[in-house]
Amino acid sequence: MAIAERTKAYPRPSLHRASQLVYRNALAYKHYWIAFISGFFEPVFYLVAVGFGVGQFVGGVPFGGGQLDYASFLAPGMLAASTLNGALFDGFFSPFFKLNWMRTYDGIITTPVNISDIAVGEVAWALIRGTIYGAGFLIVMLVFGLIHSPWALLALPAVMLSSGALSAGAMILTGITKQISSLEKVMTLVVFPLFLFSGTFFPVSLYPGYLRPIVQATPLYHSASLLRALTTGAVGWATLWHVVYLVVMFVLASALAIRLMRRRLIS
Amino acid sequence: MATSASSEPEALIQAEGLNKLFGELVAVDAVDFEVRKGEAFGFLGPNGAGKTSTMRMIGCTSPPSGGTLRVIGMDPVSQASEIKARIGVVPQMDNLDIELTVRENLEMYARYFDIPRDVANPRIDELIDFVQLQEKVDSKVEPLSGGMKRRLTIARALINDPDLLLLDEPTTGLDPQARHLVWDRLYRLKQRGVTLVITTHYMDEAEQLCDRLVVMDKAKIVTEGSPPDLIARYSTREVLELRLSDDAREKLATSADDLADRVEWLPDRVLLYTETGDATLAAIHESGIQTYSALVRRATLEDVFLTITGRSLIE
Repeated sequence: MAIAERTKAYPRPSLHRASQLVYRNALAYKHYWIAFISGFFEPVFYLVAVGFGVGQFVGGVPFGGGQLDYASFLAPGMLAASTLNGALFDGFFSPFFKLNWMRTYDGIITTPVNISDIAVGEVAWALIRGTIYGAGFLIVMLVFGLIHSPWALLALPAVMLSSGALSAGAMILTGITKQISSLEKVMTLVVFPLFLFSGTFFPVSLYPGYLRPIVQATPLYHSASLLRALTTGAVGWATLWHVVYLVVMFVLASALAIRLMRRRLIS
Repeated sequence: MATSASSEPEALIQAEGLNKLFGELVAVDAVDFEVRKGEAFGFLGPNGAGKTSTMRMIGCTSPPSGGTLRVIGMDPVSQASEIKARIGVVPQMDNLDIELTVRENLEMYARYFDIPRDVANPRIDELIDFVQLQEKVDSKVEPLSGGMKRRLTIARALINDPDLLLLDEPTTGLDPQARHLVWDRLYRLKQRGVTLVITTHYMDEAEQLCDRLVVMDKAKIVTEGSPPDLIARYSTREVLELRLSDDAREKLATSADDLADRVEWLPDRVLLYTETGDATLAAIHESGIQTYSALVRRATLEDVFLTITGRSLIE
């Protein structure tokens, strides 16, 4: 049938239209600027409490054939975790409410802005916010002497990549969840284990051999490992693999998220 | 059909055999209609008749399952963005951006439509005046009353100076004052030549606003015409409403068919459809039938609607 064929030719996202979503979020945050600023402190608190507090009892962590002080080990992990938190908030919680409660998107799609523009715009916003926090955190790391290599100059682009990949992944959750109780399930069953067990707080080498591949399949593991390689200077071919993983995740998750969002909004 | 490629067709919307299916459910069943430029066109029908599905297909947010649909001479599937740039939508449920203020809502929609700021700003001021929200410009949306939210939604739908305005139950849930204010604004838009498409289940709303309407029932269009047309076709000019004792009811039953074109026996009232209510009432009194109360009124679209779709509750 002709109509079914034409329906398949969905409009491609336009960066210009997507940027309107970014502007919309910035405008909304003008009213919630304290919430915006508070996002910066979370990883800093973890770094101070766990890295410098608990770290005093830890000593060195085996890393790259040598020993690394615990705060230097933990800091890039917390940086990666902050991109996960940001992605979750901007890619899942906020779009979840806009989609299911405020019906913001139902209004927007009556304008020339399409669903793909909305998805790209939300991910772009998450990426921008994650980058701002990441830059702040990298300065904190520099001040505390936790940056050991000029490779760290690439840490900010790595933060952007991580934010993009994780928020595109979070948009998939937006596309498949309808009940508010799902938010809690996602937090307890997905986010918290990722946060704790992805090589953020302790090296993956501590896991028994059969668990390691599972951990190494998670996006946060790649994000934390990539950032750690860059801030410590332990860069090798394996580092490139982390980049490839995150790039592929970004592309595939974005495409899937757009598809799922379309299914929710167009019927 | 010889539809020329000219950009301004006289019919802003043309539907032929238009279908919408949700799985097994037929929401819209092969409907034909045409909306002409500058008219106010209504979809009248009970809940679930297929009005909103039809509106969403016109608004390009729901692809048709079959048949043909042209909106402003374009195809709503392949030219959705072009069509959406030229229409305004007032949805059934408010979906204002509650994280923004009144003015910011309009600013954002101007951006979604890619309207340059020097055009948008004076238009926003004008629209805020038009819907009388001057005192609320910097208020958040949440604390506004239902009527104010509706007016803001209408202003939002006008931000792109649309050729066609789609209003899905624009006054449902509003108090009488707020309804009249909305009607007044819609009437002014019509005066300015904006084509309006309205769905409603309020008969008075359809009579007030619509030049022409279709009645939808169970996914189909059951009739079409102007309000006076439909009243002439499906009703008499006047309706006599009587309340009677049981005795009087029985007496009337023997002679009622001679007294009126059509008689409807309701549990609490008897409705006599007649050309002149007063003459019919006089005839009834002459024949010695006592009435508790008698009311002669003009026939309305409600009579038409109930004649066509029946009195039983549609679930």
